[in-house]
Amino acid sequence: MSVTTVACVLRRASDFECLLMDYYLSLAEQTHREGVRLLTDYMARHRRRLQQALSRFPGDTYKRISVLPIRYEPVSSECDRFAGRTLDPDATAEDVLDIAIELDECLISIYKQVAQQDIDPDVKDLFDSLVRMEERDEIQLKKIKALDYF
Amino acid sequence: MVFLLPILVFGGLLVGLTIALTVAERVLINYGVCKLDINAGDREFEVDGGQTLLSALNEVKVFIPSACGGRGSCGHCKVTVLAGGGPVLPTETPFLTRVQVRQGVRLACQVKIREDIRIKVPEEILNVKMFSANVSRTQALTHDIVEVNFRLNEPAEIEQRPGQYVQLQAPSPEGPVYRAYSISSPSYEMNDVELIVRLVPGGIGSTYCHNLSVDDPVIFTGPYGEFRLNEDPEVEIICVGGGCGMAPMKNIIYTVYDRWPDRKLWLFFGARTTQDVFYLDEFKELAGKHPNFKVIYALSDPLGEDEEWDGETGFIHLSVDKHIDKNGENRQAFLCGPPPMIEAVMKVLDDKGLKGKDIFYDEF
Amino acid sequence: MSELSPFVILIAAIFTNNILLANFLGMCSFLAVSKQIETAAGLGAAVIFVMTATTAINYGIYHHVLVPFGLTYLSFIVFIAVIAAFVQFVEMFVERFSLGLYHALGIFLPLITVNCAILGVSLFMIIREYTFWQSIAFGFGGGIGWTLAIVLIAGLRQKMRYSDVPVPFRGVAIAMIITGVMAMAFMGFAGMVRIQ
Repeated sequence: MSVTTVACVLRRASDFECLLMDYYLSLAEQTHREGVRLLTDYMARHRRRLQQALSRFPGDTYKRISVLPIRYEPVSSECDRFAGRTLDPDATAEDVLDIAIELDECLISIYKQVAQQDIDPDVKDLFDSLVRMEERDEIQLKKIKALDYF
Repeated sequence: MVFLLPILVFGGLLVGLTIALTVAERVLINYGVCKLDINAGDREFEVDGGQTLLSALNEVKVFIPSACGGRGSCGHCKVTVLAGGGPVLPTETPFLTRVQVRQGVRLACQVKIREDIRIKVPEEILNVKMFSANVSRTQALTHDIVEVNFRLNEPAEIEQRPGQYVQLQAPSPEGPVYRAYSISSPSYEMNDVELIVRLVPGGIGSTYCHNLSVDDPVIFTGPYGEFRLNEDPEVEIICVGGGCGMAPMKNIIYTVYDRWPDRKLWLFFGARTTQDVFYLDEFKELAGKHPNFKVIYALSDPLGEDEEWDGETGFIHLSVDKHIDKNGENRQAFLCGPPPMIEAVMKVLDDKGLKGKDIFYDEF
Repeated sequence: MSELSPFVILIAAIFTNNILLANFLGMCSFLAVSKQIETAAGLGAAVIFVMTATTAINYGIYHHVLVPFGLTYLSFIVFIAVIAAFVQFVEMFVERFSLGLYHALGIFLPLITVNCAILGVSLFMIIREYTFWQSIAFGFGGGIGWTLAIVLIAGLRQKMRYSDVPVPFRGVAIAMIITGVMAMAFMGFAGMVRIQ
């Protein structure tokens, strides 16, 4: 475990989101299943959750909290597994949803790791809202999976 | 006496403390009767202070949508507090944007009434009532979709518009929760409410609905929802549903053909396999009576070996793309289904020249 | 009966006989709420209030009810009942007049009931045979001492977030250690006055 700044963790999370978007988009290009294409396309477009969360904070608040130090364990093992995952053009919608849910959980664990420390209330607020957003997304993905439309 | 004395002394002391505490509670916690003003004098109530805004509103029969039962975990019970709400609590901030905080939007379940309070709610909410009803019929439509009919008891009539929904109360280990379901019975049927529910594994509401049997009592509040059907009979209606997103469409279709037998209406419905198809025969029969009613079902999975299917194949937005003309001003669309489907259909409709204000949707 | 003036007892209760650092009473809420200076100070204020008031009430009950009836063996249970009721009162009071503090203290406010420092002060008062004014001074001083300790430790813990504490010591463990160090530092006051 090391000490880093809020801005740094956010940058890593945002890199991870970009990586995910790329992953979904290339899956959307390669798949021969129309349902998977629809789904990955949708998920790629709805991945920018950090921006949403940050938009709630006035600029100067963000400036203040971005330099605050926090503890952070670099990417957990689930995220590592994702990095080494190869694309499978034959993946079904269910496979894709399973991966997406797993990755959401991975992001949740990163954000929770920060939110649980005793930190500045604004930082806690930011990471709590990120956790909530990801959790809501996870529920929605689980619902889409259960509805079995794709 | 030796044994009685300690009991008397200790008992007396406890009684004394209890009396002191009760008096303190009367003086301190009693916020007295507070004035609750809704929509700038439109309605005024006197409610007991000390309770939450949500329960006070429930008490005066103003039903704000809420799914979690007041635990502050769903974020549905938003109202605008103009005065007397106190500071925004940490439990609320994750659900509110900065703009909302500035406008005074609060979660009604977290606001405690301590003084006279002025709030603003949408006019529609004031017409919402709480209904008690009994299950009159249940029917399995597919292996995991059930149609449930309720006969209303109190009040005995409901005034609803197609596209509106009710909040059904379902029991959970942590007390009652509310789940939203679109009304599928046509709006001219005032004494009944019909819902179409797909079983979601582990879902509290859908499991409850699937386990209901005839005569079971239920409670729901409603109707909620802003959708208004265009009243101009020249306007063409386009309904697109996917998965189990059929309930609001069914309501729209029957309401439309009750009032305007010649109105033009498209129904697009996407499912995966023939097992997921329902209401097709019913709608085909209706289309026989109303030539301007077009029913298009599409299956997205390949057909099985011995299956027959005379409808379309592929995803439903492709069918919409195929059948809907590019021009044409007078059209209104209602979509219902999983979010990725809605977005795909919205894109198609946008290409066809429909304006954003004429497209309504209901996401799962 | 001790002859010390109430003022001496007040000073002694804050520094030389600090209830937290010399007797290690009230550790539970001390460890749980000493993360932020503001909340620590809020809880401390509540403890000062409860401690002073319950000492006064318990003094009256002990000397005017329990002693005349020969029921001094009931003192533990009676004191606890009084403290529990009084904490309820404080909770209502804080909720009414300072909602922010009420939410910041959360569950710890009712937990003052089981803060053994409060009961401890009432019991010391009897063991040391204080007069009424001495008891008030001791209760008030004990509260201030407890608050002083928790605010100091909260300040240290706030600073320590940025220091590289070895993993096994993080959290409560290091808080216990710095409490010990702080207690030793407070021993430096010992020569000043002596009660007990």
